[in-house]
Amino acid sequence: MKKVLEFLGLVMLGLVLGVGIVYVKAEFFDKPAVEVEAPAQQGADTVDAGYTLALVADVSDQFVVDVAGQQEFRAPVKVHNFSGHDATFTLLVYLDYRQLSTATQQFTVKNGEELLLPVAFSLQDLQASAHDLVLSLIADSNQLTSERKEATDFFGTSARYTLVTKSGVDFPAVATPAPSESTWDAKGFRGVFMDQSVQDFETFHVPPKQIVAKRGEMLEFTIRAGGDPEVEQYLVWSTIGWNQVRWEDGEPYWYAQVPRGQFAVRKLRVRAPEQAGDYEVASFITEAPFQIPDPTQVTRLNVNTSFRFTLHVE
Amino acid sequence: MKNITKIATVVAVATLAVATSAGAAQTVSKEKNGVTLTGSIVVVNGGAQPSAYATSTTSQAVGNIVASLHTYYGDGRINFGANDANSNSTYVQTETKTLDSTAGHFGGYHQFTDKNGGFVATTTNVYF
Repeated sequence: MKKVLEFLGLVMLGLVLGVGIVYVKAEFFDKPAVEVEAPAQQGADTVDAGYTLALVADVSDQFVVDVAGQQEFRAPVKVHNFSGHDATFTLLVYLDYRQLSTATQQFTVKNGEELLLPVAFSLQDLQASAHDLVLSLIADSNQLTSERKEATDFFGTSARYTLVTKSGVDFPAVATPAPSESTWDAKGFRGVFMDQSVQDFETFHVPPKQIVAKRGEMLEFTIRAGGDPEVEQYLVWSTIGWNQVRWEDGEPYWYAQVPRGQFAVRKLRVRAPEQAGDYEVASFITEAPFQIPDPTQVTRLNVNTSFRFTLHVE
Repeated sequence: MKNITKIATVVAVATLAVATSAGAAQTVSKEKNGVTLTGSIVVVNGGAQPSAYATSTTSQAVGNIVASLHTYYGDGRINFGANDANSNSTYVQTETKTLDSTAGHFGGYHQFTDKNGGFVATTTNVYF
């Protein structure tokens, strides 16, 4: 009896020791995992965030909207803000990856609420074919990254649809994508990355929150794009102050041919605005751009963003 | 009972207790949009070299789910190398990544795409 009690005592001592070790580890060494349960202590950048963007229209399984016979596209867009805070948004509208500046809208949505936003633009000049429609929701568009704790590549969401102006038609033949002279193994990178690196493109660092330039100064950015192991064609565009900028060849985007599983690098040279002030800068990317997306090809439906940062023009 | 046996018993029980507790995972973030959409980072080891993976889960199958885990090291480097995606599914999980020290954080990015629900993006972050 005595030995049994002694053994049970030792087992209890072992349990106390083991649980004690786990408790001390969790309490003093794994502290951040505990803090996750209380994100309010962490500041805005650590709070979990989310956004929804949806076209309220008759959308097919392939995200196609039939607008045959219509002179104007007119449909509400649903925006749901569950970022944890009330926010100001800007909705950017691109038709065939060219921004429709007149369709840009800024608005506010309280946390947890939805908003139906009317979107309208003319279809009169479009040829009878398929056309890409990208709706890009920029969260906290009125805020400057330079005033945040750190740069972020999560600031909203985008939606890609195909408008068909004549039933049964596909995309017209478009310019062929530019071949990439230098490419690197993606090693897991997928999407678009924008900074001012001049070397060591295989390494990615969080870009500075702000860059400074003189009015009208020529700026040079480095754009890294690609990475999908199953895709070879990408389309990249950039914005300054949420306005699409042109590349040196005059095009508003970079239509790139990149070997599967690799990323390409291209310099974006663009003049700083002539007006002093602060402008947010970011890049966007979509895959297999001039095709009606196969809904089973998951990543081809989405538009990804680079980190955004602030351009301070003196 | 000999002393060595006593010590061995205590150590064995303590080890068993630690082992059964160490697998506990921490999950963050859940949101709703018609169906329940949950984006999470699961911390599998929070020690000196924290490890985690990201999951995206829905209560009903949706068109597409994407989960990505970005690993941000203390010196500013980023490793984007954990992605996974699925169509007409309810769950996707990335591979596990490890920080080389506690100076850094994990960022989980979750995209839910459905012709009815639209384009839903969520993020979760775990800082060390």
